Amino acid sequence: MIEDDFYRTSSQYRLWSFTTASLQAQRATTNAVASDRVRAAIRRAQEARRSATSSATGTPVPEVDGSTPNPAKGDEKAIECLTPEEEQQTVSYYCEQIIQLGEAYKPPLPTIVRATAIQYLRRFYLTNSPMTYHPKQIMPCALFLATKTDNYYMSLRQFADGVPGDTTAEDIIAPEFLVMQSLRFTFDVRHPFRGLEGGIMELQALAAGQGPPAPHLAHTHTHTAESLQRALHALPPPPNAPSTSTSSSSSSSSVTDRIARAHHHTREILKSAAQITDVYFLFTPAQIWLAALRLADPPLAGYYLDTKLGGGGGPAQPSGEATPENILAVLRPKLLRTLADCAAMLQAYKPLASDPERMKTLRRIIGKKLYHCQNPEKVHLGGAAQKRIPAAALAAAATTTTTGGVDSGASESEMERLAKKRKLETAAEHSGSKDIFGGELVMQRTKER
Amino acid sequence: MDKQQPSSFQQLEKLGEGTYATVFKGRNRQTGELVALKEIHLDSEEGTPSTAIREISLMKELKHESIVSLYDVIHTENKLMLVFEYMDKDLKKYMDTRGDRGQLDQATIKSFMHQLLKGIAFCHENRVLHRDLKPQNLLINKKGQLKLGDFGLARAFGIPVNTFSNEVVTLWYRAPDVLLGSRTYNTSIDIWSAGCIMAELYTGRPLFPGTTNEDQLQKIFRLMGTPSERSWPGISQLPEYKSNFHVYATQDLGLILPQIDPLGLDLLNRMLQLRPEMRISAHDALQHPWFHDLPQLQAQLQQQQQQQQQQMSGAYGGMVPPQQAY
Repeated sequence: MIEDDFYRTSSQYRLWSFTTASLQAQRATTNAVASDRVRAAIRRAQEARRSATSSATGTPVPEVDGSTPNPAKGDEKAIECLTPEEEQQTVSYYCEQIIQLGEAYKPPLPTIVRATAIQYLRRFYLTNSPMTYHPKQIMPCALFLATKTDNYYMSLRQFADGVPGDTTAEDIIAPEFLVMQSLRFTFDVRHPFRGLEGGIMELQALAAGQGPPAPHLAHTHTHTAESLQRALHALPPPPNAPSTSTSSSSSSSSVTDRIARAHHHTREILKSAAQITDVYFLFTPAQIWLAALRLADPPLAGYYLDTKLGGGGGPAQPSGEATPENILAVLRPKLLRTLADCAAMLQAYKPLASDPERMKTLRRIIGKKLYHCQNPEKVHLGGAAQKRIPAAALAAAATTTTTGGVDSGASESEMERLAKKRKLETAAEHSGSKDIFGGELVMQRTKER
Repeated sequence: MDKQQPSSFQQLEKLGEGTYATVFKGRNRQTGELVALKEIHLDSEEGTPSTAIREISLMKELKHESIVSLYDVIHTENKLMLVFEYMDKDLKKYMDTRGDRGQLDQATIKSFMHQLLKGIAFCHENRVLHRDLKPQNLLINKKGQLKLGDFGLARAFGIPVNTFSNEVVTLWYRAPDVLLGSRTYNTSIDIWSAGCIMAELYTGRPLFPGTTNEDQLQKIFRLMGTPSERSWPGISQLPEYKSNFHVYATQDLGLILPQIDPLGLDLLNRMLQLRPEMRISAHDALQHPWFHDLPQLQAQLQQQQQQQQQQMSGAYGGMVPPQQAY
């Protein structure tokens, strides 16, 4: 078997790889289902409230600021749900928060743990909506789960201490089943980091004249370790290179430095852009790191590909024979197109925090819109008042939500449940400003007005 | 609590206590198929134990005929249940009940070793070290299949492989480099374990039944010879290396394994190399000439098994000894 065959047996390929169209369709479905459920749940909550108006002081569920709601305004048509794009932006924001949160630990959580957690969060929100489960509740759980899968031992207590705000240990593992189930119990994430390390080792060997030609190209005799070394040293400098390094491009130390710089730059892309964009869903780990290397140092990446694909070469011979040259000639443009697509996606990424305009939009989405369209029946997954809710019960709750049968009026126990939720929510609203994952945006929004 | 039990499986007798779980025999109510239900307790402060998470994670990736299959993960209010393919017994119990004082016949040994090495090779190709291979973790079914189980201690490896804990692998099957405190071990540790298991299949007794780390090393050296800086460059740098190790000469393994044929002995010697770099890989071991007559032997074995099954079917009565290797 070759590496590609191994990758195809992975759960990442089998369950978590998409085409652009299928990914979009998946998100649209999730959004549509969640929107319907949110509308139904809010309607039920409102009906429950109306039928229980004997207690005149009932705080409305979806309202904020303590303003008295106009009952006429509160009907379901006024409920504005998030669009799939808004959901995606919300998730991206919390993915960036994972990077930040991981950095805050002493010592900082390893890159791989954070990257795994981000992919967990992204996978979770392919089948769940932020309207159903707020990312501020899911995010710490995903990160803690990633410490378990990536062998980074940490007690829950220790982990919880690093989470700012008043998130308790119980809050963190409350949605653990739910997250595990949504991940379909596949916890192994294939990252591009390992492939990059291997590629860099190969480049270093080539620079030292110790890189033998690829076995499938050995027979052509166009490549030898020496010719490959010469070609590497003769590469044009990367377009973004600092001017000082170009003057001594012939010395071997500068090539080593160049590889080290490309390594560093590529890793940075893999740690940020590769995590927050859709590339894990759309490309293989090898494609991702090669695309990132192309952004970091295009001539170096081109050279590396040539050592595998045998240089530019002509078009496939008309004979159509399955010679290595012909196969590579067909493969090469296809691979380059794929890498270009992946690189374009990586290059288009800009951190949300660096973009005031998008942050402003996001504050509106998370701070206001999501607040109003949060499914009131799913607000509290656990915490002080509620022990860990098994996902099975949550799933059952979701089923009753859709199958209905309670339209004519909430049952007594359900009203009790909703009343408890309202109470908890009020408490959460008060504590919200201390919680960086949920509170910050709301707080900033209030300040702005 | 019982009413919380997922209704799709009927829970039968307890099969054993695992490292972090209890294993029950179960029956799929719809299909009647037997399964092993591994129940993981979640009463800890940490949520789902990380060993369980890692085992699930690996089993979801490792789908192979020589690795026990994970069918499903079910959870109830306070426990998680892993549904595994049912295997009749572990290799240890199999040897106790089947062999002549634990010794197995040549054809069975060869078939088991081939399946064991296939399972190991698949793990290694997928960059997973099992780290805890021993007869109790190898499962056998009535079809004569052997499969690797209990991946609770297994872990993925990458480059570079270091900073592993050296508190892994049951002492008797632990490689000398691990016993000497190496923390940069690799796939070769599973090969050492496989070699120990191969010898045990012939004799019915563990090859190196050490009681402590030091005793374990001594038992290994007494048979395989005490290594030196000359036979194993760098050995003196290992944390547990002592310059005053008693110096033993290398013994001929064939003397304690009179039943083994020369080709089998050659393979065994390649697996039981003290120096990890010298140990044969699982992939190369599968190509070893010792396995060349396996197809003919397997045909014979199948005939034997059919006969045995006919003989046994009366006496077996559905009773299965406990097992604990899931």
